[in-house]
Amino acid sequence: MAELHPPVTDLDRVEAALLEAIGTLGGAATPVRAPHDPVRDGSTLDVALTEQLFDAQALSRHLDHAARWLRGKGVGHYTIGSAGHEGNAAVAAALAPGDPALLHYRSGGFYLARSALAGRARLDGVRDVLAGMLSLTDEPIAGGRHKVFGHPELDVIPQTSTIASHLPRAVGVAFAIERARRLGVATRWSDDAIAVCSFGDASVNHSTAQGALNTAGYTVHQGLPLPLLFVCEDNGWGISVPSPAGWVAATLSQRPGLRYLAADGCDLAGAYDAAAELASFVRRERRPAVLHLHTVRFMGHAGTDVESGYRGAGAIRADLARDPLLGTARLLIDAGVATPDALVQRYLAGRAEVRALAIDLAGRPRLDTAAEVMAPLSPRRPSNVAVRAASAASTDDRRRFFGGTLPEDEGPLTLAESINRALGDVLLAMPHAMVFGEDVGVKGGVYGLTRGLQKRAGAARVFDTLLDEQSILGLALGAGVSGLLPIPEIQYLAYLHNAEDQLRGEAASLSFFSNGAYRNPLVVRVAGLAYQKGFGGHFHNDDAVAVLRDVPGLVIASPGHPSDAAPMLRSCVAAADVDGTVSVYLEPIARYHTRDLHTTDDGQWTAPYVAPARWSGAHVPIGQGRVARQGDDVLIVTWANGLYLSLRAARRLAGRGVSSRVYDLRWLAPMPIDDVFAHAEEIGRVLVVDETRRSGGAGEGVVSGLAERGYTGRIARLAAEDSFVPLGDAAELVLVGEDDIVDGALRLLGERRP
Amino acid sequence: MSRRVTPIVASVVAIAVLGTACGDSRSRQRARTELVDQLVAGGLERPVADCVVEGFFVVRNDAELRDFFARDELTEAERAEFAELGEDCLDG
Repeated sequence: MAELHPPVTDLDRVEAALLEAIGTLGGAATPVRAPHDPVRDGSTLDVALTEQLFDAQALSRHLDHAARWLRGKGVGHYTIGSAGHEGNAAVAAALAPGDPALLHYRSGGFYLARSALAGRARLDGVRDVLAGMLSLTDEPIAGGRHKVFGHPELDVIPQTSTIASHLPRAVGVAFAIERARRLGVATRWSDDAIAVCSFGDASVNHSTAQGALNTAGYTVHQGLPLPLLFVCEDNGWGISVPSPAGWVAATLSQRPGLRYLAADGCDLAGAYDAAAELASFVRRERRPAVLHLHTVRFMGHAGTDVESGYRGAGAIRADLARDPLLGTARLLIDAGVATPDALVQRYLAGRAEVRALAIDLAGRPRLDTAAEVMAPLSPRRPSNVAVRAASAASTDDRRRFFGGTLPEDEGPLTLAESINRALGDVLLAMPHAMVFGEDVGVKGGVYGLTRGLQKRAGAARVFDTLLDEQSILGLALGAGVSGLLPIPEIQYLAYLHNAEDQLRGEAASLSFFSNGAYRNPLVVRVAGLAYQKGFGGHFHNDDAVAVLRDVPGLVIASPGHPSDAAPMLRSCVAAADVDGTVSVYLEPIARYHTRDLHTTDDGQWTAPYVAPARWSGAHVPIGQGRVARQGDDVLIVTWANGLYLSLRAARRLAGRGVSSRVYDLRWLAPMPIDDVFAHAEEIGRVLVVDETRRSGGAGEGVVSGLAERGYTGRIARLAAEDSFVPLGDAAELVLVGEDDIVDGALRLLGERRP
Repeated sequence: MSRRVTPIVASVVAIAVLGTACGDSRSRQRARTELVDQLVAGGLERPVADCVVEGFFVVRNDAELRDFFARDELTEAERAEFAELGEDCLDG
């Protein structure tokens, strides 16, 4: 091998093998191919692009080595690399620079190729990635919060994905490109854009990936467009577990509605030809396709992975001969445009550049305070939200939409009716809003919450989905990040749990890990909580909110009374539109159709719909509770079904001379604890009525919040037993009842119920 | 090996100059290049000097480097660090 210049003292085994192999490649071919000639006969990849992609591949490799070097010095924090996968640079080259890309963590080649093809300076992409490894605040996407591939100017949406959890969003982005065009709504993508997502071979087996592939096929089967290119980068390994031979091809190649092509990711020209063919197909036909890219994996799964513990030395050596950089070097040498020595020197010069840049960047600032870290979690502009929440369509438009009778002229409405009318107003006032979920379209929801909306707003904006909560939320995430305003419905709270990562890992984290550059405005309506007498059992009476309460930045609204339903929904929608807020709007099913509070026909669980002219005054800011009944002897803190039960109990307590102040939290996150504390301090006796479970229930937040603020008065908490909710009357044995509240209040006051 | 590296480093660091602009990567690069050159002039082979200086710079922000170059003497901790870097770099 030629003498290395600049001299290098720390080449690792993979680099040494690569440079040695390049050095042994044959001499330049004749005739020399011109820049716009195919780099190989029969390929659509030309010489000039091959040279550009070789640079992207080599720089990506240098980043992987730099990552380990920085880690060794204690200043780098991420070593999962792209080595062996650099063929994905060909995929970037086969796409348009503005095609939205959702990339997995071995996408260095793709990212650097897109950066270069977008016209940025040669080392700009390298700088981005190094800044991520070093967790620098001026890293362009996560601002030091993670090392991800992402950039708003490159239309690369950052993914911090658990395994393949970004694929449902990718389906959503592709869906949104077409749906927005149909609706005439502007998005951040061009009308002819296609979405691309990449993932590994082991991830194919994850239910989330299977769900996304299924949803793509299902969409095509319905005759709907879905311009999405799936790219499975198959290195044959899931950390230490090999993919069974032929399995990935078997599961990807037979998908209904998805065109499939396989290519060797170690052969840049072959990978490019396949990617270009599929990208062209997806763009032209607006149908999804799968590119199965065979790759190798160098240096193990990550920096801590000792590959020799589960792979033989021979197999590892054999992979070195398939190095994608070696493949590209061979193309350039065979095309007569480079010599082995020139490519070795070019590789080493790039290596030195990356190392030098890493050293220079290492001096840059890191995140310094918790406030800095958390700044993009949930930015709030309450004044702007209030203004947006008060905006409505014209009276004439509303009259037409609502079929002649305005909601405010209908008289008192139930909770379900209030939500229905509020959704109607949102759909009318916001052309980019969409309502979707299982049974929400023609049927209008299993409880009638969306009845009539499809007919009024059209099937493009109010529609039924397939039965898969991950896909429903993924659709919403893709729509939101594209510029639409999704309001999906999860039919029952218990059904959310299998898809909860789409909220936690994807929706709530996007602003955080993109430093606010990407948002997915979202209002997820969830029917839930217990007390449906004589119906359901656990799955239809689920009250598990703990999994939602600990999601950073997530807003949880839970209206109990119809008078709050519409304004709280409008607040969530406005916050989504203004700040990109992600909200869960948790509806107590048992109160949907309730009309009376104390006696038959008292109508106290209904409320008139407020006319738009008074929306401003009726606005309910996020995180603001309210006193639902005045009193001085005991403060009952509750929400949703608990509000209904507590107001009934308060009337019974009044009959015994006890004056109860009932406080409706309305928001479980952020919780209005400061306000609760003020009332608690004033009264000195607090009864928390928590319809969710004793362990992990929302009431824990009330009690600990008061304790942390120094409340020293008397306090008790009533909560559901740590049990699933059984069928029929047995449910009452584990749920908080009206009698429990009366008893609890009297105990606080030192009395006993006779 | 470290016995050979440490005195060389100690003899030259006092005259290297880091620009005053915090976060100016050109100043950082210049200081690094100058330090490497001085180590080479002091007797180290260039790849080893590169390696030593890279290892020293990468773990320091600009303020820390300014503080380093403002002093005439190495601290004991820096002396030990250079010794370790020297051994690592000579080992390849």
